[in-house]
Amino acid sequence: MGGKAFVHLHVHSPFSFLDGASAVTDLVAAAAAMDMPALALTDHNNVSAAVRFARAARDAGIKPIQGAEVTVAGGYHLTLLARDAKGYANLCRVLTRAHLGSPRGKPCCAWDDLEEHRDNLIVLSGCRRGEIPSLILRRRYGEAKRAARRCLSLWGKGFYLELQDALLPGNRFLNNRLLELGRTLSIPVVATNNVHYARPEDFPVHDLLACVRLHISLEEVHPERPLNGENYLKSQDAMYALFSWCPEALRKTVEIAEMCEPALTDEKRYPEFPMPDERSPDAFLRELVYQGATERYGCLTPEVRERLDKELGVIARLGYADYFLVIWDMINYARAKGIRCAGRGSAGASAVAYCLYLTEVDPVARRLAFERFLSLERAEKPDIDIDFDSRYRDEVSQYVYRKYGEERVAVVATYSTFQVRSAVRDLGKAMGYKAEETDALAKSMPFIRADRIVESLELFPELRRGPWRRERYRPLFDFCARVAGFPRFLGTHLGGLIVSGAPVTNVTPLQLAARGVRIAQFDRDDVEDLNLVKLDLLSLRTLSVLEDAAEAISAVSPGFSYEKLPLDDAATYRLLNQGRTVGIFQLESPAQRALQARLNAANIEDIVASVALIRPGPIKGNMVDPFVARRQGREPVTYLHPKLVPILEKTYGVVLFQEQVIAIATELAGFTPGEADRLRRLMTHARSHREMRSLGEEFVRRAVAKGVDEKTAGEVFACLEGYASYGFCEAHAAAFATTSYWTAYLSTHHPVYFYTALLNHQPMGFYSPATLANEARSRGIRFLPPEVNTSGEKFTVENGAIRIPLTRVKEMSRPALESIIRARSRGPFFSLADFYSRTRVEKDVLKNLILCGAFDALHSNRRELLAWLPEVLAMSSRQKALDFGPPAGLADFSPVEKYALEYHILEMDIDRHYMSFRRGELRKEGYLTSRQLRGLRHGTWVKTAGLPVRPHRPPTKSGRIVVFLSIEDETGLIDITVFEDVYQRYGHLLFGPAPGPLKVAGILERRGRGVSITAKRIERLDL
Amino acid sequence: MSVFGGGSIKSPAGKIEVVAEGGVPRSFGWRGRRYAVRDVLERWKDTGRWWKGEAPKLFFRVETAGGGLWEIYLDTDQNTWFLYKIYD
Repeated sequence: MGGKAFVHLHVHSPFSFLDGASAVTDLVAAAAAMDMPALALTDHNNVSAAVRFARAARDAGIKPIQGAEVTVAGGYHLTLLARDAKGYANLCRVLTRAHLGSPRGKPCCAWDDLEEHRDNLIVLSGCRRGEIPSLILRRRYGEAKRAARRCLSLWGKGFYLELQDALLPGNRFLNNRLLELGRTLSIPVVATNNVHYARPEDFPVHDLLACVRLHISLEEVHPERPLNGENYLKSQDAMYALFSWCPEALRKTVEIAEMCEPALTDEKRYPEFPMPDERSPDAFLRELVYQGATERYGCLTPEVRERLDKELGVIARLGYADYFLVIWDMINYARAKGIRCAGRGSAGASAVAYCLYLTEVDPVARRLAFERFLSLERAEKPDIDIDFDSRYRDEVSQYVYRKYGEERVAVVATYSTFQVRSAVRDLGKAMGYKAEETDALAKSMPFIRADRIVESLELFPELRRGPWRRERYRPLFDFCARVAGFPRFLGTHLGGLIVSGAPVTNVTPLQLAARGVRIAQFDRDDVEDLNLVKLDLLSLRTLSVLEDAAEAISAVSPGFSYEKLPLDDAATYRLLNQGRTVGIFQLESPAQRALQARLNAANIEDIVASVALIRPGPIKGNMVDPFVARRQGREPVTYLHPKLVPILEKTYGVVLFQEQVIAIATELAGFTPGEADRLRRLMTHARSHREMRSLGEEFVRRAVAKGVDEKTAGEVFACLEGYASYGFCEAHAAAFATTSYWTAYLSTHHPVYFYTALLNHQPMGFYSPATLANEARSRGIRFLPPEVNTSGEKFTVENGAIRIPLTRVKEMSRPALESIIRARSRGPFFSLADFYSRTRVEKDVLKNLILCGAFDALHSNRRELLAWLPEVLAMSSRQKALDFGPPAGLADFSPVEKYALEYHILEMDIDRHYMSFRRGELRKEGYLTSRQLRGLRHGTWVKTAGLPVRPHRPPTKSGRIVVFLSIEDETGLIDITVFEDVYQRYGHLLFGPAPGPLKVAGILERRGRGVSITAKRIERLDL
Repeated sequence: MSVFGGGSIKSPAGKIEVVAEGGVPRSFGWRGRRYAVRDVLERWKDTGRWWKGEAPKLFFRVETAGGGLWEIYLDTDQNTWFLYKIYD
């Protein structure tokens, strides 16, 4: 390393949260382009970018130096660099103490902690906000000297005085004093540039982000704003020009870099299960698995034994026995507590998981390749996702913490990044746009990346009609694009829990999340790269719905258990075949409803296929129609080779599942299952035609070697090529399908209990409570209004009808609800005055209760009650509620007025739908209800009207926009397809801040029992 | 955008003529007199209101041969020097 060698040792990335303006990859690329041998990363109080930094540096061929700029007592900054893995662990511990020992969001390192964890760290005195520079700038030279002595005593030769020259006032004075101090105390100096972005032209982004961080506009002055754009990743020449007066400070950067080793090692950090005796985890796992296998399979066939032995062998070789035992133990805990849980995902391909009762999918019966889950060749971390009844998931997490100790468990983080809405709001405010303006803009934006605004303005008609294409918004959109994907907050992963055999703070700092849990500073991908294993404890509200419904049904039908339900109930399949699947797990989207109406599902395998079919991949790959045609016998089921018959017969010759790709490569081309899964993954991610051709050549060569003729082998590969990237994991589909069936069964046979439970666990699924209630009503279920003497916190079943709870009433607070229930427990209310005297709930709540009909049973004229309200509110505590009553003789609200008020207050209908009020006029104009439409012929020109439900634009193979939505009226839903030409004319009516009821005209399409409309004209229905 | 240091402004800012070497001022003329720069005590760069298209300014705090303390700056857009401050 000769010539002007220099290494940047003080560098911030966007993970300094609003204080770094270039992506980690850009910083690394810039350093590598300048032939720098190493680069340090020193974000504020975190190492969140460490993994991606190490990866980018490795790819670029430069050495990554992990570090952080930490905040110490007094708010001063200090730059810490890890010399090696031990230093990195100390850095993580220091940061953990800084976060957990200080108020959330204000980490501060205590000097005692720095002393305790001082080893293998290199410490630089920091930027101008460092204690020593800061004291020097304030001319407190003696104190600066004392501070330097303290650092020297702590880190000795590992401590350096940091010289910076970003052309700021006072620099020359500061650097001269630092140099003098260094000479006096024999502390070496080192030059840095306090880098916050890669290139000079990125400075405006940094300044703008600083304004966002400081909650000021660009026009406002603030001492923490950068004065100039000199904090970029300067070249060696530029740094030598700045520090020509002190070449030793430049040379030191290289010496320090040479002292540092990569801090992230390949050491495995898997969990350790506390063994009950002297047996090894592998032996204990084997025993449990065989015990479970006997229960699951009864007689253990050679096939089952062979399968289990193979899986146990792979698990032992990869060292995952403890991991399986940890999950087994956790599930045991949940079961013992009666907490509903179910495994999902690729773990369904593991017979070991099945025999440990982690999953309910039998991979032997389904002939699922274990390698889809785990293989020696791939050696990836196993990923077992467990769904828990959402109410009790945290209880299970707490058990894991108790069992393994707080120091070995942490929640996985997520990085919330700048998306279009947050970017528009944050940057727009800083750039001086009016709040109403940015708010309207943000609300009108679809969920796109922040760098796609400009193209979206041309693409989406609702944006094209707005004012957003004006030149004055252009600078805002340009900046939004430049921050797209930058992290904005560190959040909590929904279910990821790291369990490690060693303290997690060896590799990750911990900090408190908003929810109060201790999170790692890494997301799920980074956690895997750190050789940590995570458990996924997911919260699935559907399980809560099943539990609630089952409990209520058991009260009237003792012994009811949905797990014992036959999977071939004809009535359940009849319901599915009608496409009446609103509320049914995984089968309720418009695309699923349309599929169900034409698939003629008759067994659980059809549901498994359904779950897999309605995914972006299969839809984009046009797999749905061929599958349905073959399923219904309208197309012959053919196979390219006899060996494909056992693999593809369950999907009628169509490659639908990822496991089938593995099986084909194994059976036909002699790949090992692990190689086959690797092939599947390579095919999925093949970037170029050349890569795919090379994979195809290998497949054909090996198939020919197995005796398949070359032409057939080529055709099979072409088939795989077409479908590989679209395939879905069968194990996952099978795990979900059973839950789908159970919800369908409940919806068929116990709709009142099912919809009650479903409404009690909102939000979940695809539809709003209003749409779910409408669907329930169309199935003959009656809804009862909230009632002060009857309604409680939840929807309840009352004489075969569903009673709306008080919690649906707008403004109802928890104290108000509790006060009502408490007062009611001492006797029913007999009047509004009595109610108020005993509950003292607030005026707005009282008013809403009157207007939504909650007092109708006590006095049916709502307007009279409203007129009486001021008097009731003025009633003194000594006045008797019996002494007076409401005024008489006032005309009550009309039914339409009542409806409008109820809908406004409850956000759902009670006994009739909005469209029923409009039906008379619409009928005269020829508009049909969704029920009437179901009886019409294919190709009929039709008109309908209703409320738009969930308009969405899924990706399409052609790239052209197709909008799917449903129109809801008093008889149910009708699905609408809007193709690009029509969308371009009417899209502004479908998307935007407040879409109202619509009139749609178009061509009726029939597919099986399914009916939809291809829209040709859309209008707003005037309110 | 921000100004460093104390002292009082004795005279409003105005254009001055500067002789510089390698971007560093060596002497300047003001109100008919020429001042030789004895030492550059500080220099800094202020990016200014970049969002309004302003160009950066390079500031120099200089000590002149007579012992005066001055702040002058170069407007990089106009390539013109200005007197910013004179310290008492």
